[in-house]
Amino acid sequence: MTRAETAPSIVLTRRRTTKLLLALLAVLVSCFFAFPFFWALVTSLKPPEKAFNDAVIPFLQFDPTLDNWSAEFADRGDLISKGLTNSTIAATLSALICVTLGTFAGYSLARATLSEKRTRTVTDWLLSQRLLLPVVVVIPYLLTFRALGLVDNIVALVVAYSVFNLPLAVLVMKDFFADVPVDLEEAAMTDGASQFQAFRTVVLPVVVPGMVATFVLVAAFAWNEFLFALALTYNNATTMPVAIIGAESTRGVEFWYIAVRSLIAMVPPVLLVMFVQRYIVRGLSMGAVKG
Amino acid sequence: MNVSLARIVVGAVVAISLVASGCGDDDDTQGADASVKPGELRKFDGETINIATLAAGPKGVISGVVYKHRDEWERKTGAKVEVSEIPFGDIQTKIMADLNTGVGNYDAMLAPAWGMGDYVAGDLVESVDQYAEQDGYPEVDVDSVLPAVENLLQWGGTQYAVPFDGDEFLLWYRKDILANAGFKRDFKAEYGYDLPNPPQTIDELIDAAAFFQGKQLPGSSQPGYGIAMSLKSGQGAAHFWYQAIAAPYSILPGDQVDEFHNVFWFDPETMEPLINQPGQVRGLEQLVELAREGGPRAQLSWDLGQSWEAFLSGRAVFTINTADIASGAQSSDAVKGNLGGAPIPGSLEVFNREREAWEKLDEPNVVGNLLGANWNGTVSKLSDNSEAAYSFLAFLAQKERMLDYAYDGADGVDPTSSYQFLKPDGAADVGAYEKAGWSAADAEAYSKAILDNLENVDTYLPYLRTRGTADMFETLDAAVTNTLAGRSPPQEALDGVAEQWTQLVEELGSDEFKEEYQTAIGYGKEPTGP
Repeated sequence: MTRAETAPSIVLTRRRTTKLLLALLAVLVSCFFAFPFFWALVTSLKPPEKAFNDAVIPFLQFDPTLDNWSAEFADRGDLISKGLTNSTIAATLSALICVTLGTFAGYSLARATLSEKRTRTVTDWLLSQRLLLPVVVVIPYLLTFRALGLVDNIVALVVAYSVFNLPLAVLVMKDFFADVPVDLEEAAMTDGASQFQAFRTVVLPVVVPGMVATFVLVAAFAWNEFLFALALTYNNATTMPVAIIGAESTRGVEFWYIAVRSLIAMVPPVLLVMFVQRYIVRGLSMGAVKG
Repeated sequence: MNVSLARIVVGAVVAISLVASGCGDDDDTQGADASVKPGELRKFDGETINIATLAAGPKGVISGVVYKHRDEWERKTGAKVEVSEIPFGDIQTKIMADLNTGVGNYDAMLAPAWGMGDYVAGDLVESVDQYAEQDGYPEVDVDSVLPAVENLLQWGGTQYAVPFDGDEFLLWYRKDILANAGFKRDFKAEYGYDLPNPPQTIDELIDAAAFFQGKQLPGSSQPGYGIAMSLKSGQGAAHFWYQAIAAPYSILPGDQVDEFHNVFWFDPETMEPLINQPGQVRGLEQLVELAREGGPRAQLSWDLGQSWEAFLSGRAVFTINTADIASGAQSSDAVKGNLGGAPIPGSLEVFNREREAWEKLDEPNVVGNLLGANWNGTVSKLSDNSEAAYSFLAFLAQKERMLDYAYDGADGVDPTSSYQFLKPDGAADVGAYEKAGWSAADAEAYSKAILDNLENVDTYLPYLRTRGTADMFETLDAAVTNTLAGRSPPQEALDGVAEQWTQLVEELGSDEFKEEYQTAIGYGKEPTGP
């Protein structure tokens, strides 16, 4: 075999090895991230007295049971369905509000309708709001919502989540808009479009993946939020995180019920992400490659 | 934009007005039905009460009985009950936020007794004395409540809480294993004295637990544990085990609660923390030794459920644990019928602060305790439906239901009243326990252990229930778990606690706190309970 013949074969082998290594790495990373899910699933299928032992392989190391699931649906069905409904409403509405307002605000900041100094001041201010510890504002929120008669009302959570997550949405959207060439708008305006028309018909379609990614990000924050949900709700507006932590009893943490509730709580976000996955990937990679 | 803003402002004003008009609704006549017939419950038609309690669901501990009995009360009174479940770790914070901010969503609280200081100091709960003599409320047999438990219902002689649950830490053990001839022989050969059945002192307990640690126990395929405790860091409960072990070394019995007798937390005159005194430090040293020599290393990460599991699976010979583990034992093949129970062992020496010396004793200094949450019912002062709220709490505390709680045990509501204990000390019949699935011997052990802990001791571990209790427990728990993990020596850890408590007392106001503390521990009175 000549050197000319062996060279492509070496390259091919190298490529295959690289692919194999990458696949192996992908499997390892996937295992790492899937482990909590796996652990929750296994724990949910174990009887409580076996929850803390080392057995992880169903049928081989322990006899799986659906008792925890059936007990949860029978005794805590109301709590779970209420939690899922409230979490869905709070996460969806607050994410919609954040994305809507964040889109307009982000566009304004990206296009520097203010002076550069003021734009930076506004951006810093927004960033500082994001860094604010939530516990600082819990009691003021409680007093405000008490005055408005909104304690234990899902509206309070929607407002709280929107206010708290809006800075994030603005900053993320600002970056997405910054990646869209101004030339596109200018071309549209040269053709007679107003700035709003250019924004609506030219820029907005380009940043849809970014809007979807922001929506998912904000919805995830709202979905997982615990402190406001605990402080501002009592019965009617409780969310899934409150329901999950409710499995901590005087006799310790009932991990088998936590596992069931956590797995149920994962379903809506997972479905959402599966549904909008292509937008998220495009959104997250926007601006990553510049020609 | 302006229109929207105007709408929000108008909406806010209207909402505030509605809230204000609701708060000002002083319709006291709503529940005061003067024509109520004897034996009937007062009607509260159309009222809804909101009760805050543990998030454990319709079949869980504490909240389970609220769900179980609410329908019957609703039928009898015409009112409705909403149950607000709060996760255990957040219950005090959440209730205090509701009461302190004036939100007032809760009409009643079925919550741990350690919140009483916060409630009373803040004038946040109603005295329930006012209802006791009125017609139309469920009759609560307060006279049957053990004096030790009764203390926790009161503050300065006024009753603020409706009796419900009494918690305590006791020594639970396997009678069959302690009676095993082979183990008795081996123990005597190794330690030079008879295997104590049960241990009378902490030293004996350490020896016995160390002896069994790692031994093969009958009926178990794995090496056994001497003792099982829940010493998990960050769980906020390890300090209870410390208190149980430290009390005999640090609480000097006496005829009354004074500066040197029957106190544990602070010097009631100077308000100096006592937590780093020699008795308390010895207690922590003993807990470290008990945990290290007598149990698995894993118990440093066990929560209460895991310590239960270790004992109920038949793997541990001893456990220091809550009373309701006895009901759990009734579904354990290994433990049912073999359960032994006793107060926490004492010590043959106690530190006398007056003389600044250790005092030797002929009999072990056994200290009674009410360690744990002790869930009791209180009525919020912010409630518009306080009469209905009291009625429901009293309904839950009626004798027929309290007997059910005791027989059940799994509901987490432990006995507080003499009629729940077995004859001849109490009035309950062992047959009722057997009918509920108990082994007669275990029911006897259960009843006797609780009564011995609450009635047959010379002194008690004062129940800390002042303002700031949650903070104090938190710092103490961190010190205890740090020491158990070997991160700091006992004296150093407890010195740190004392320093933080001193600062906390100053923040709370030394004079006010002193008065509050003295009231909480019954200063100057005969010690009748924690």
